[in-house]
Amino acid sequence: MFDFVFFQDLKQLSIVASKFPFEKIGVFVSSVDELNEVLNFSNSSDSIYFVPIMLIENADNNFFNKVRSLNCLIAVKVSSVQELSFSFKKDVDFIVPYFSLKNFFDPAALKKLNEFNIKVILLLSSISPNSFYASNFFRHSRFLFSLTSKFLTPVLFFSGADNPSQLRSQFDLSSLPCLFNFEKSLIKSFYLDFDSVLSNFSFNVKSVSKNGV
Amino acid sequence: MVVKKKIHVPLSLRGKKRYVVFKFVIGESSSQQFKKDLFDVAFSLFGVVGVSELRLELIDFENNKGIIRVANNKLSSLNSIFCFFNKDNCIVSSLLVSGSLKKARLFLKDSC
Repeated sequence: MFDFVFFQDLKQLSIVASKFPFEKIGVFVSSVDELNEVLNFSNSSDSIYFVPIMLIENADNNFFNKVRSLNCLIAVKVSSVQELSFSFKKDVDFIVPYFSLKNFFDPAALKKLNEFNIKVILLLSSISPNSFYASNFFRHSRFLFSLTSKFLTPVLFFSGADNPSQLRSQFDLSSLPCLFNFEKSLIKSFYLDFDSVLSNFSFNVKSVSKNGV
Repeated sequence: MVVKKKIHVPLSLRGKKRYVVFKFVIGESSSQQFKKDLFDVAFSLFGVVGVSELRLELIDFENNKGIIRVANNKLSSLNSIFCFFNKDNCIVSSLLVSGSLKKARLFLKDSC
């Protein structure tokens, strides 16, 4: 079992995560200090393997160039067509869509995601408590999953927890695409895809310098 | 004297159901409070008509673990309700899905 969360108190997170139990957790970080902390904590804990993922916001080109030298997993927060095309150009590992009123996915975008082997992470925490925006989020994700069933681009829901109380089990999260009549066999294969990216990732702690970014 | 026969609803008309064993990973609640919170989340997610199709029923609840009955084809809806359940920072997670209440109760007994 694994999940994707935002950077937070890792000690508390590992205590709660061990109750599920999670084996791996991808942690979105936004600076090298946070990345170092995740790596050090991951090395010290035996039960859960934390994988740092650098999250780039606003298609920041300078920040991306600095981060690329660190050789870590990279995700881009996408809320417009421009940010989506930025992720294609830079060949990142994941994209994290934040749906506004307009949808920015189309068949051509899904084809490109497949071409560059980019996986899509939908975060439960990004769903606004406002019912209008929440229904909008589901409307766009329903469309995304209908495209996914045709183009087979890995797209899945994860918790995106800001604090340990927002963690959800993989079994419950995997049921969300089923609400859109998405095939269970595809969901299983997508979990394997995401798992293989986290498993194959190995990081040399010494290569990270605090002055790097 | 006319003997009235008891009319049973045929099995085919009752609809298939699943029994879901769940537990509170964090936090605790009482049976009544949990039922109220569960239906609150369900109504906000699926609306009145959607919830009527789920045929939700809280069967057992003890020591922050319990069994919920749900319509066979609406299992994913119940799991998604657990995803959005965030009352008092509680986390509810499903443990087992079973077709018979006996098996679900056995699992619940063993896990206690």
